[in-house]
Amino acid sequence: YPTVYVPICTYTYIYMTIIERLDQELKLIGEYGLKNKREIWRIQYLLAKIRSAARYLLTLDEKSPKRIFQGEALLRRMVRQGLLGENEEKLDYVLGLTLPKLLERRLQTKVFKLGLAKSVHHARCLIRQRHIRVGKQLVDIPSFLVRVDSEKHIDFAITSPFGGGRPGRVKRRNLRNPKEKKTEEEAENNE
Amino acid sequence: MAPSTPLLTVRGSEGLYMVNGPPHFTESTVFPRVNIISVTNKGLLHSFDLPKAVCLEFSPKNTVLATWQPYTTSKDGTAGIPNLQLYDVKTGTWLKSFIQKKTQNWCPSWSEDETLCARNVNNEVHFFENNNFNTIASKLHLQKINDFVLSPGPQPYKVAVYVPGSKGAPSFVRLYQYPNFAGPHAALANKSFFKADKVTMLWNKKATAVLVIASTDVDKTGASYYGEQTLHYIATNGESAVVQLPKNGPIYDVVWNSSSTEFCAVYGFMPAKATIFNLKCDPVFDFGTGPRNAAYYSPHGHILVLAGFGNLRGQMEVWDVKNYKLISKPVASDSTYFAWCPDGEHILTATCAPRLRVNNGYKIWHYTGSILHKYDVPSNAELWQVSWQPFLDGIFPAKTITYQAVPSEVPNEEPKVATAYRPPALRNKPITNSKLHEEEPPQNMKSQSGNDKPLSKTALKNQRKHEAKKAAKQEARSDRSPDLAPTPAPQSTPRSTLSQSISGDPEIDKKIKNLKKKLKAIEQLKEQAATGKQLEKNQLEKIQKETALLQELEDLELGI
Repeated sequence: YPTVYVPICTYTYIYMTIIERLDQELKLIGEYGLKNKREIWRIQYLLAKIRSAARYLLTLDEKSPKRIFQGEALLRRMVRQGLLGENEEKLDYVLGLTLPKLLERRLQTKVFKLGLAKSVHHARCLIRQRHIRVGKQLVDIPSFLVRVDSEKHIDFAITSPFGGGRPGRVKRRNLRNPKEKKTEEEAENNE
Repeated sequence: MAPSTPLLTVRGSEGLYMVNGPPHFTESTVFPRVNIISVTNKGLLHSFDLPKAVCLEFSPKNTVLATWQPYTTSKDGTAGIPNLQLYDVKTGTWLKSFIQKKTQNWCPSWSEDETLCARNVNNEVHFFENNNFNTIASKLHLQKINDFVLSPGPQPYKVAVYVPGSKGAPSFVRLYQYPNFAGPHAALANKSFFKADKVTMLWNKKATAVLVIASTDVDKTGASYYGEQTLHYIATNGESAVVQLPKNGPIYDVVWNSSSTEFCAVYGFMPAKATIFNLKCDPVFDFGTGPRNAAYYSPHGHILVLAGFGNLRGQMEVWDVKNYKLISKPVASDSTYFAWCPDGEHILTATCAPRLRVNNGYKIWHYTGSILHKYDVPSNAELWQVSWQPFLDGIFPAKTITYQAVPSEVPNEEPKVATAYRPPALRNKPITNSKLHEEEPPQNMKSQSGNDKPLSKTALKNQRKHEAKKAAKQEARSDRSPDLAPTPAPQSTPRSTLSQSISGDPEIDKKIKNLKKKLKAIEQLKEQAATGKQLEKNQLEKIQKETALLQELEDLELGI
């Protein structure tokens, strides 16, 4: 028997069921400058753990000591992370948390939103290339989740050329070697 | 010899004159020469031959006059004459002239006591000391330096400089202390940011911190047509932060308060939010949202006016900043100019040409919201400029704030209530409440959300007891009145007028109530003493205070 190759893709049907999720994930990657799907699934897992904790606590009795103690602790952590506002300190609001809210707390988006970078991708480069500090600590992890009170202290690192340190390797080389070319260009720029 | 009220200068198509003092008219025709006229002596001091002088500026202590003419080169290509001239005002001699090609930032800046004068030239800032313009005292060299602002106040002076960023490099604002400019650790503080094309730097009065409003010309996200603005805070001790503004949108206005401990920012898409921040950039008080785009502190710093001028109708809110209470909400429609009087009590709003050519005039308000004086220019004339006579800071004392409106002869114009247009089919229908914007009330007027908890059993019982008592009192009163109608009536009326207290000022009312409570308690104690009960020590002291309390009560009621 000669075999007949029928050009029907069996994967199209599987694709139909997941196309929505793929679209959403791609949008998040574009908006927050992520590297791959794994970064999204990582945050999803974190969110799922938080939500299941809140869900379990809500099934307990209102006055049970476990609910009070662990509920307060969970809410305090959420407020500290900047995921809940000051007037949203109830367990029901924890169940309303979404992925974009968590992704907003990443250092990469914070650097962009605070005007320290020109785009999210530029922010990722700056962070990875050790130009950004949070408080006094140099941070080069783009997925660092920024706390509310650290948000104000995101700034350029002291040793970075953007933050007042000595100029970078390329600039130093140019200043050392073709000095005559550079001075001519500077004179032209002044006029 | 300061007069008791500041003078008001008015410049319009009718001429240049002053109000509230002896009005004397001086001619304001356009002279090809620059004349310096002494106002107190009414005489011509000096006259300079400066054709095409476009800008004039006096130094802070009025010792030097700077003038600027447009820079022209002669036809054969040789460099033109220096066009920025500096003259000594007292002697009329010419001090120095410079070539200044750009109009922007043409004027050299002086420090407040004139020991320093600074000028931005190419990639450097030149500093001159004691108005000696022949030798440059020191230079600050920074590639592509664009703008600088000298700090106010006494020595040591500081300079905030702004350098825009080139490709890849961010723009930054640096603080230096004069005269340490050289060396790697010369800068007191440094803040870099990317999204900035133009920058406005605001020093506070004590020269301890600068607020920087960085604005871009184009908003890449497309949210605003006017570009994007961010607010940065840099302190001379090296701290710097980005001020987090809860609402998205442009930053309309930022002002420091006079004690340099707080600043107020008006920001966000309309209706804009106004918030007071402290030196750590934490919000201290939030005024909620409203139609406003400007903020003005009074000269003494205890009153803040949030106003909406320009493309807004002119609604103003006058707030007491110590207690965060709203004093009044006047409306000054179509105003283009707003100024506090140096005595800290009166406000001037004016409609001036060429911004608006119709309905030119000015109004003088008291801060409690009443118009004290109004002047409308006759219909074909224009008003160009109005300003208060400037006074030094300490001359007028700070007075306590009243909340009651000061009486005025000028009636408050009620603007026509604008009703929305409804097509004939939808008229005379029941009113549905739909709002365009979410209005947020100020922080102290927000209803507490914590009261949702259902009242406990005891609280409910107490509430019911309270209501029952009230109902019983009402019945007793209504029972009594028909029986003893004529006699209690004259008795109760003087009592009720006393208790109502005529003053509209809630603060004084509260105080009167408290005093009356204390007096009642003392009377009860006296009765007990009369029946023979032995009084405790503190009760005896209370009785002795009675005369003092009576005196206070009389004073307050007389003061109404």
